[in-house]
Amino acid sequence: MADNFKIKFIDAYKKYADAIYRYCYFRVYSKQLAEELMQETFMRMWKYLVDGKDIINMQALLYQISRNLIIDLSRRDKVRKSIEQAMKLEQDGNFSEPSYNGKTDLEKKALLGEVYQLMKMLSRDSQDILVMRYIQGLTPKEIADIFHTSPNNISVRIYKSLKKLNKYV
Amino acid sequence: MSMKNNSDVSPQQAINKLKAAKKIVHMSGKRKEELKNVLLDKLEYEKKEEGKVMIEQEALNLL
Repeated sequence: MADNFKIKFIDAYKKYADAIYRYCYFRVYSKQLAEELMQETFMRMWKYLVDGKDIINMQALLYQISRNLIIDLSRRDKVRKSIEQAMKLEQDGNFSEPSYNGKTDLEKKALLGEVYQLMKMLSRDSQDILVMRYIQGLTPKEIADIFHTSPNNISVRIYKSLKKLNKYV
Repeated sequence: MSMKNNSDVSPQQAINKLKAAKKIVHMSGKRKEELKNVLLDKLEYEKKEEGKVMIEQEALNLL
């Protein structure tokens, strides 16, 4: 394995692995599937590196890869089944996530359930954008780089998504 | 959970819930390291397999 590729790969992993994992989690609601998607994302990024493709924006590339993987999965209907399974486990009380000081397991489960309920009111793109903006903490400019659009367009879509949520809630 | 359960959630509260959710889903440092090692092993394996294919192809070309 070429050392310079390996260094770039490990740097990117250290910097983005947790964020990509979290993004995947909030798109599939399964810890195991989120880990698999995160790993596959980095495998594909590695292929970009060794193929000599120019990576100008590593963060945007990783989100684009993971987003495409999730779209592929949802086309195969696995995401819907995974979400249904995760929600069932949650209701059964067997669903757990890494600990977060200050919140009980019950509070965490309730919060995850509420987020899931909110997100399912929206289209796939709107879910992506709201997860990236408010859970991942990306700026409209960073999201625009992922979607190949303008920050203004992203801001408008965030506004519309929140408005749509308001209509439902 | 039905829609009615969210009837007291304003957009700002929805934003706050999303922001709070960030803090409850993360990989532990140990798990992150484990997965990194798994990935590096996979990449090493793939490289070796690609090397084998290249050697086989070169051998075929010599025939």
